[in-house]
Amino acid sequence: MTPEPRRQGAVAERETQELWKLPDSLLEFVDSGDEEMIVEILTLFQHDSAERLRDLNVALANKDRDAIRKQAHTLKGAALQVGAMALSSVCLQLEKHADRTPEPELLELVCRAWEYYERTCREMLQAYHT
Amino acid sequence: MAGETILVVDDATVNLKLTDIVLRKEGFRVHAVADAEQALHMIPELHPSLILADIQMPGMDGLEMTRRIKGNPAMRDIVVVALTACAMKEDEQRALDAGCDGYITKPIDTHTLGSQIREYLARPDSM
Repeated sequence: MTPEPRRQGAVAERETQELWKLPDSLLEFVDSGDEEMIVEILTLFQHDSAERLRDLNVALANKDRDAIRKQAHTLKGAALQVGAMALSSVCLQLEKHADRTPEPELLELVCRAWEYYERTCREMLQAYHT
Repeated sequence: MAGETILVVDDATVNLKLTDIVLRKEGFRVHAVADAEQALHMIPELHPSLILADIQMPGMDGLEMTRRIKGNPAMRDIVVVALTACAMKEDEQRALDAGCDGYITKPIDTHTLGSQIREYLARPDSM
């Protein structure tokens, strides 16, 4: 059997880190009994990220690479803040490569961002019932 | 120093909310807005001691907002600290070139944010 050729470009950089881990600095709020604040932040993250992912879809449909880069940048920052590392990583790829990556690869990255977002939300639901 | 007014400007809702919560816990009076135009509109009345502003925002970005603040004699004494993404080293120099008094890299560290803000407020040129 002929091995599958190694993929090049943005999509080839598959993320390896864990999906989601609440940063220590936020865990301290939980430890100090302020879990409500964490739930509020995670709920905000879920709503805001869904909106930005929908905007990414629109930007992709409109072939608006500048909008893709900007939405990916903001989504990356929010994901990093709550420890959603896989989502943050794929957004970094989108931000870095938005200007020159072929559209099918951009589509794959956006699909992957949705996948990570949904899996992250499921983990958040299990952990904090958000 | 606690009780001083801080204006936070960031289009990322999560970061805006978290920064607001952390700085309130540190004893600051915090106003949080999602865009630079709104921030510029509020400044004359609010006259914050320090503005913490994201660099990359839709519409007017944090750099242009800083240039306008520092170019206005009535506002230029306000300390402006940029929020920059840690992966974007070039943003730090761009922030200083635009007139920012310093920068804090994102993601914000909830442990150190308050002390970082207090350090900026304590600088002699911020009095």
